[in-house]
Amino acid sequence: MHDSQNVADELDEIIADIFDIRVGKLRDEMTHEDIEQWDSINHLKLITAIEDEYDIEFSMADVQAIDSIGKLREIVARLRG
Amino acid sequence: MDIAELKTAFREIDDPAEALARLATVDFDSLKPGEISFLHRKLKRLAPAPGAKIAYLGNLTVEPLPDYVDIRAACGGLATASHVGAFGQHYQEVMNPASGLHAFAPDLILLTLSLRELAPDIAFRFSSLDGEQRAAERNRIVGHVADWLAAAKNATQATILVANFPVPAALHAGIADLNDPDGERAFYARLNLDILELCRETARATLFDLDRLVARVGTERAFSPRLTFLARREWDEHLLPAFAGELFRYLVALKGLTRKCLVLDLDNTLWGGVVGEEGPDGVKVGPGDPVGEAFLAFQHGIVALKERGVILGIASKNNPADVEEVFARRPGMPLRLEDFSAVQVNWNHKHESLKAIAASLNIGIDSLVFLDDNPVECGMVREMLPEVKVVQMPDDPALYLDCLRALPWFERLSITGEDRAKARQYLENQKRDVARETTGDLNDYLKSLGTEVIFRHPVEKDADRIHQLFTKTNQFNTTTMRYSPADVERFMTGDRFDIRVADVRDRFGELGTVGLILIDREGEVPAIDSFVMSCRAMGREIESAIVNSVKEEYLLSGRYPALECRYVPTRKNQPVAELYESQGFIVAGRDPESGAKNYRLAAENAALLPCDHIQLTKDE
Repeated sequence: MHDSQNVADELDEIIADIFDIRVGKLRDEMTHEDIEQWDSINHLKLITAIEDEYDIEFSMADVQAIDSIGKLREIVARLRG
Repeated sequence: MDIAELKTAFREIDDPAEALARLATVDFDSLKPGEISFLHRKLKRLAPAPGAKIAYLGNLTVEPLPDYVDIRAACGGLATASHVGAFGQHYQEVMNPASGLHAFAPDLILLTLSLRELAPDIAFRFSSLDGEQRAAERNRIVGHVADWLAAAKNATQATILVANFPVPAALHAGIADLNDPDGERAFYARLNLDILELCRETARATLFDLDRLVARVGTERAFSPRLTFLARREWDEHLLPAFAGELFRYLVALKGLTRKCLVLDLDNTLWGGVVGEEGPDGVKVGPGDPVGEAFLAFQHGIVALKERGVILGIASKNNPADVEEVFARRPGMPLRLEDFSAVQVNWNHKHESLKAIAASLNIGIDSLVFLDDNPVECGMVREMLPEVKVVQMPDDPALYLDCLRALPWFERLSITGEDRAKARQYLENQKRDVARETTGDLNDYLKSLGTEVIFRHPVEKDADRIHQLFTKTNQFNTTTMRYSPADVERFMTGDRFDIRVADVRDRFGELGTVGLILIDREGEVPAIDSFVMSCRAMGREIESAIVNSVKEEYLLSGRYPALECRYVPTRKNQPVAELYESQGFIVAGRDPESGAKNYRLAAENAALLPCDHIQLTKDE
């Protein structure tokens, strides 16, 4: 159902929902330093919300490796094959 | 409401009341985790005055459960605020007057404890403990909870919910555990029973049945090892909507959001099909047909609500006579017309019927929950009477019972003695009203009941019950004579009348004294004046066993040349309209106006009906 552009849009929508940030402002290089709401609790909210949306599962290593928006997008793309 | 539209609206809204009003129209179960997170953040920023303040204490990471709960409550029309205690600080929060908990002044405290923290030996090393150590650990855990509960009660005015401990998905000893008298499975059962009893014995405390909730969701889906290792957050995302839904049930009960009356449509809601088209025998409800089974189960669910103290009503577009006929001719239905306290069967709009029901019961429109299968009717009621909770039934009747049980609107924290007495009265019906309508083998079913009838002369202490049978029995009542206690005394003492009562029991237990027959011997031949049987004993041919016994005693013995009897129709005694015909009596006269019938059976024509599934014993 999700073509790749839609996936990117939906993913950004989830990130925006949880980090309280405008979709258009998201950049690959952004880290928790740049996003005020990116704390440990919201980090897990983001993970579980994305898993729920795409029916994928991050490993613990993935969860720990996600340190930027770019890294998140990359791992989601890999898990979705 | 469309979620994208809702989100757009929420970006603009600055009035907390408007935000709440919008959320009150949203189906919580349709929301995704990210959407809940978004809506929660917006709502929290608007800070509506909370109708309930909830504190979450314990030794595991509860976030983001409070977001879910706040949004669940808002979708149910209740604004909530939350306080999350520091990890593992549930004692300190309660004991320290300067704690965040005290500043927050909660209405409700939820304590959730993880045994990983509280009792790691139990959680990780169960196999290395002996029976004594396990029992000691159990006592220590219960003691910990009991001490905390006492302190929390003392320090706050809140209602306190204590979560029990979910049974683990896997046992340390594998299935061998089940043969260990001090095994892990038994440990959790005992521990949770202890916690249940502790809560039950403590005023202002109630169990939060996390164990059952987790089982409902599925233990493997409910817990996340990954989140546990990453953040001591044990609860997977899958558990949270159900958790919030369950907690909302407690809020409904605590905050008086409980609704008083369940109003039901009939066709395709209470039974399958349309009575006006299929007829009273054609609508589907009862065993022998999958759709009928589904409606049977659904009706049992409604009976359970009635026993809880929920008032039942009917709002149906139908001919009243058709509806009455269904209830009269389908005795296998768990619900009887008498179970409904307000009945609106007519061709009025449903919202008019609902208003009439509320008025007749003297309750508010906002006390009603309305169930209907028809989207147009549902939509119209929502439009005209927004205070009514309108539930459109799912397409598949298989899901009706689940739909009913999912409704939080009938929760109460306890059920009073009065409710329970009502429940007992219906319990027997529930157990037995099973296979009456079966198209399979009715005889097998009747045999399986193992019905025993004791047909006997009444004694003095039966007088009240006899009076009650005369006055309260409507369906199986051939003449519906409402005799007084003095009449009853006369029947029991003089020479003119023979009166016998029937005590019935079966493999489910005692039905009690459920029938009577009154024979007047004044005339040339004796006449059955009244034949009455409680509806709970109907449908198993007890009447044949009783009439056989009467035939033997009065006719086959050669004592009398004939026996007379009479049927007088009422609005409700349709079930016995053909009773005497079926027992071999001949109509001797008919009153065209009232429909009453006189019968006569001559001794030479008297034959016993086969009725070998009932064992009848006489007292002399």
